[in-house]
Amino acid sequence: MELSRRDVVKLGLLGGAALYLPMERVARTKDQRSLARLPAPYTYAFSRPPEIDLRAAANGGTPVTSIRMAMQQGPVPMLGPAPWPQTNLWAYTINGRINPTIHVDKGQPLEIVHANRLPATHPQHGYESWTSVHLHGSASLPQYDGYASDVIEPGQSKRYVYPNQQGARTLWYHDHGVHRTAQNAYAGLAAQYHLHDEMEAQSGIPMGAYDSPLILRDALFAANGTLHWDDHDRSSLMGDVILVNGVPWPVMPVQKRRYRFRILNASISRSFNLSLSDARAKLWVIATDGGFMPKPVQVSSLRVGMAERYEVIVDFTDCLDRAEVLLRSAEVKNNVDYDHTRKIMKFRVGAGPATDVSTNEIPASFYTPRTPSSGNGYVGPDEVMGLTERMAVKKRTLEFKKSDSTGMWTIDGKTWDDIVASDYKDVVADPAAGSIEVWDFVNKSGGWFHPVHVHLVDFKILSRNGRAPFAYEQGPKDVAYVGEGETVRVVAKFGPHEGKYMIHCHNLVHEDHDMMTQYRVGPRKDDDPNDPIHGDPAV
Amino acid sequence: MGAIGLHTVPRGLADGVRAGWLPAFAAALSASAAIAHLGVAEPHYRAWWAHGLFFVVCGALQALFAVLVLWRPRAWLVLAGIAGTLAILGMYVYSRTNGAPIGPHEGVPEPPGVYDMVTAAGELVLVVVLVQMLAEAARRWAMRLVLLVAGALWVGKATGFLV
Repeated sequence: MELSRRDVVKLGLLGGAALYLPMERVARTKDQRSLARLPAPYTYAFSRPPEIDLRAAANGGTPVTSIRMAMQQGPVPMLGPAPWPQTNLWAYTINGRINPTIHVDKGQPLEIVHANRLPATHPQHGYESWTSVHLHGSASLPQYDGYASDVIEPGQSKRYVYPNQQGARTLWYHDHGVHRTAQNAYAGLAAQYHLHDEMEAQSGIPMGAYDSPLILRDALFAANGTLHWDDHDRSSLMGDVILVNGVPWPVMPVQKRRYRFRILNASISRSFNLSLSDARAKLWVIATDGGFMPKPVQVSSLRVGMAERYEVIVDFTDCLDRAEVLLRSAEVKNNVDYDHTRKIMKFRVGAGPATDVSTNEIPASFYTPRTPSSGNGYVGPDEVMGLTERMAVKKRTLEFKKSDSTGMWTIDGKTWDDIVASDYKDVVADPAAGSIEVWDFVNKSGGWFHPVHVHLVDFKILSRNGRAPFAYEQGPKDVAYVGEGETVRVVAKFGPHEGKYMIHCHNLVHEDHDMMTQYRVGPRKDDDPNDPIHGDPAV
Repeated sequence: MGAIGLHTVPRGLADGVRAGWLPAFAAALSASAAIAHLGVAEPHYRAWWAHGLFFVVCGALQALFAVLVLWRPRAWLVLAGIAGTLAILGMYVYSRTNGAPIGPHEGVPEPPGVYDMVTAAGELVLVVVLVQMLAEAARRWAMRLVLLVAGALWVGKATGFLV
């Protein structure tokens, strides 16, 4: 019996809906752009993030060991003054300071109580705005490490305790709430945290006004100023505005001297390949994620993946009067570039010699790598860089890939939901406390890079596809940029704490969907007082 | 539009259907969809157990339907097959536009891929074949159901309910 014309119309309506609507959504979101007009690059002044200095020297000889901070939403003129619309930012706040850089000394323990005073639901996405605060780069106990599923619900607070026993380094605190990390961090929950020590103070490198964060990130803005979210169906978010410390493509006046910049790539998915436009300005890398390198390395460019930190010294001494030096980014495979995304910021060099040449040194070396001490104590940067492959008692391999069937991002075929389904018992590795292991991070894909972050430890990169790592990444690291088709081999000493810690891709879109797993240092404990969820939960 | 109750289900297949090729074609299409759904149940289970269960139930019902429609085609069975397939197609569109309604990735739309688009296309053909198997009275009911689901999807799109 043949179909009537009317039946064909009805079936056509059904077929159209079933096949067209999903495809239409993909096409629409892929083509969607944000503001039609963007702020002009190099028109706004450079801005340092606000600071809170908790060190003894800044507080009458007594270090501050406890503070309270609140996560809040508020309007910020990120795109510039009116008539540009304001942007509702989510931020860590204290005494009116938004996303402050926190300064502490080595050996100065710090308790931070973070209160979640964000709206109960995200104003654009509608999800419940739970958070978790991770101090990235800190060897904290599991319950204070920002474990993704150890969340702070809106209205709750959680205490975090940081030992600060490691060497001088640039850390950063950012959101890590399960399945919400990308959108929470994108909304603004990210800032730096500087740990200082004697070696740093005596090194003569630029300090104070000549030592500044450079927090790089990209963003998309909607016409009303809100941050626009488009993760291209869970692959990556690529913004068309580059922000430096929250300012689009700023201009910084500098003297003819050396400046120390603590570069952090706080983007969700974009990496940078940084260089300077003027050969008279010299670029030195002095520290990586986990602190100082054995010795400074002069480079012409460096690749900075998401969550990586590189401390650099830019030497403007030989620049011409009133020279304009651009910090720019070259092409990086699998980035999506827009009109101005290879521009970062501009340095405007002053005329005449510098008026202040204090803390203007680049030492020949910071330390000599040495064999790590036995036992399970904190591992200094000299010990991390003294690790060798032959010291390892075990080798492991972790493969990072996208599942063809589910579209989920996986580590060794598993996701964080698998960890949840195991009641947080599954681990991909279980190194003994104080043991040294070699891990291979494998990315067979040609379409994606994965900055892999291992919580708790600093590691040394041994090789990339069997070849030596880049000169600028030969310092203690906690993020390894695993490029397309790459195998990156690292060695680490696991400790000083026992318990469960996360491993994940720092493309936060990948992390949320669901390229995150965990490992355990030491034996399994059923009633672990340092359980990451139950050890000291939010109240 | 009236409710579809069992007491109102008209009986009857189109003439010659039992001996023709339509039941075999419908069985093949339903079995293919079953294989497709069972094939992705395990990775969905790893995402969340309920998602995995959903695919296992869908696949099992489609496999069972394939056997029954080949073995003993009946009007009520064909109507049930149409209703079930329309429900799966509706859920498919919802998951690709608004995201899964519950679970760990609630509200996050899944990108359509070749695998699921081909499966959805096969299910559309299955609906057409099943409609062809029905005699006129039963077919009218089936087409009302088709129109109901298609209309709901397009109204959902027009009103912004479907993103």
